[in-house]
Amino acid sequence: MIVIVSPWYGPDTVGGAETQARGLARALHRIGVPVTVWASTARDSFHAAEQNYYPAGSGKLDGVPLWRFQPTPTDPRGVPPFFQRLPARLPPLNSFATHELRLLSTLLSSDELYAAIQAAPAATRFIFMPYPFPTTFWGALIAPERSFLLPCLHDEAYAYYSTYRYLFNQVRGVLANSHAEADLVRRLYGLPDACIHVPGEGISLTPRGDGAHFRQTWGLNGTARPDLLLYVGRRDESKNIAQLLAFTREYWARRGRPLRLLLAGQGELNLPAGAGALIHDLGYLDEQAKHDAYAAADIFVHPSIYESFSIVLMEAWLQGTPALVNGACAVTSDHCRRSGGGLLFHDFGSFAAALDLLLPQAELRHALGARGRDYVLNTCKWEDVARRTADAVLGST
Amino acid sequence: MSNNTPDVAAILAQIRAEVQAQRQALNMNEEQQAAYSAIERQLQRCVEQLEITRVVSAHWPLESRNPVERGINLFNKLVRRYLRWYINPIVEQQNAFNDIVARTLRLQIEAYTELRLQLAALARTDEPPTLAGGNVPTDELDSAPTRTDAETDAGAAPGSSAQFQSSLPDTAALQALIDNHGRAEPPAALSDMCLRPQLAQLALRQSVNAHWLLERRNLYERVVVPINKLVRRYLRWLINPIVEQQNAFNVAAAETAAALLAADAQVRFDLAARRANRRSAQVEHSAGEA
Repeated sequence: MIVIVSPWYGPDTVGGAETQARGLARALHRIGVPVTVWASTARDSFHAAEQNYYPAGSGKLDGVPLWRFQPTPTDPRGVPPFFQRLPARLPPLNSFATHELRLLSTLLSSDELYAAIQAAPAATRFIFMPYPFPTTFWGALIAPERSFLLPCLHDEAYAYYSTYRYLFNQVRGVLANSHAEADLVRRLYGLPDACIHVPGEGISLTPRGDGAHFRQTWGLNGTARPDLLLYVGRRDESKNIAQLLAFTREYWARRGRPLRLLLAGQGELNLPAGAGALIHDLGYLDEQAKHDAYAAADIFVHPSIYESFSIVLMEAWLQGTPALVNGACAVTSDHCRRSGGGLLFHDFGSFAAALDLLLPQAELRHALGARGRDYVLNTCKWEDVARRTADAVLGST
Repeated sequence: MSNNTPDVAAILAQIRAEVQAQRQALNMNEEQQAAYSAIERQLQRCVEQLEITRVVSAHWPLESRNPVERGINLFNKLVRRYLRWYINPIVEQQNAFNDIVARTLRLQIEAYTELRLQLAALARTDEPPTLAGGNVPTDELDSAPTRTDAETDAGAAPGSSAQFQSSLPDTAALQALIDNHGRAEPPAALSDMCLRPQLAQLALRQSVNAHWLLERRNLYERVVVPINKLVRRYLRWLINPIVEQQNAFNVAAAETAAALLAADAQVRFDLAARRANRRSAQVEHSAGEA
């Protein structure tokens, strides 16, 4: 039996890790691996106040058994009260910096969940995701010999905390979404190769976008059909949106060609009134509209440097759209090198040169997009990801 | 005059010529140039003052001119030394905020200068040259190796354009091409790119807290912390109003920085639109002539 432990889990839960949890649970269930999901009653990270959004107790989602637990606060040190019953499992608290424990104290925790982990049969294997949350940190420490991390790790400040170094060195194994993420785990925590598996991540391979419909809907046809750059994802500083806006604006000013940057996803952009001639704020798109947007775009641009997999990059490639990604992001750069479906920019110069190369040449764009699509079709099938995950988790008993 | 003696008159003449050339390049008359110079001198002074005053110190020297003052100061120093656990973290929080405010203002001054130069460049006719009219010539790729399906991790799936792909240059060759052409692109300053993340930092640091958790990790702390808590509780009448006033200013400063950034963004997009329109007209004109 595999138990996936995630802070949030619901049909409309927003977030990359949460989407991955749903996809993995469904795929494991489809290939016949016994799987259950344990999550909290809270909605998601975007609605922190809605702690009791779902009823506590058992249920099912997409045929997968699901159990929800009430969130509970930690003590002033950041330690769940549950650990008073289990002092032997407490990590060396004095070796952690105060702010590291304080971070854990501010995030979602659940004593009921920890009690369930402790009471689970010995054959149960746990997959905890993502890495920074108390449900992962404290949960995995209760049964580390049966625990695997699916960390969704980025090269960010939290990844360097001693709390997480300790956690990664306690668990049985780590499931990386990409080879670049596996390299980061090795580099940061010094884990041996035997502990690190790369099952990858899946996406739905069935969506078909209608680019013409999208262009018509958003009035992007006309006589001077503009070139379309598309970004999909959270619109905040963590995704390097400021750089994308500045580079695109400067490119537009220098070249003067008809160009639109389409931004889809959640988060306030606070664009000035004058930005409308260049930037279309699409807001949050439903699934079909999102795939239509990928199909309509000439280039999918991904400026983020903090990724562990990048679902949106795979979704864009699935629609045959070539990518331009930030060369400072090991994960998306690695995907581009392996697939041949995209190019990297390192600064404004290479950003501009990549657009100069790709925008006038539809055949080249289509060829790169086709390479990306082949890569996705061959590596992102959920059933294959589920089999690799089950092999890693159940095969290492 | 010997060869080793600087020719002051020649140097001054050269400086005057350079200033004149700059004015001409920026298409400015002397009055405009003087106005901008005055603004920039004032801004430079502001930057210097920010640097001088941004750090608050809780440990300035206590001077004594007679034995009575020495006695009082000794007592004051002891009090100050004891209260370090309380006062220093407050001061450090404020200094962290001041540091970000000072950096934000410096960046905004740089952004202003950059905008002024863009405006001046727009008034001229010579926009920085672009790469061969904005195209990267792919004929440079003729000699580059082509990608084969075996080289991809994914291989070619049914229905893909594998045959067409195999005749295209390897992605590494395309990457090398854009890296090479990227180096020839005139640099872009784009100060606003650094400014946007500053707002998140300001929001994070704007609230100074005088009542953080006092931890009791060892025997010493278990003895001292209850006393400190009592002292902190007593001193609330004195410290809290100071912190609250400071926090009110911090919020106002952060909001001002956000408003300035919004104003900056508006001007940048307006300027970009004008530059894009002009460039577009140039391209159309060139195409018409061709």
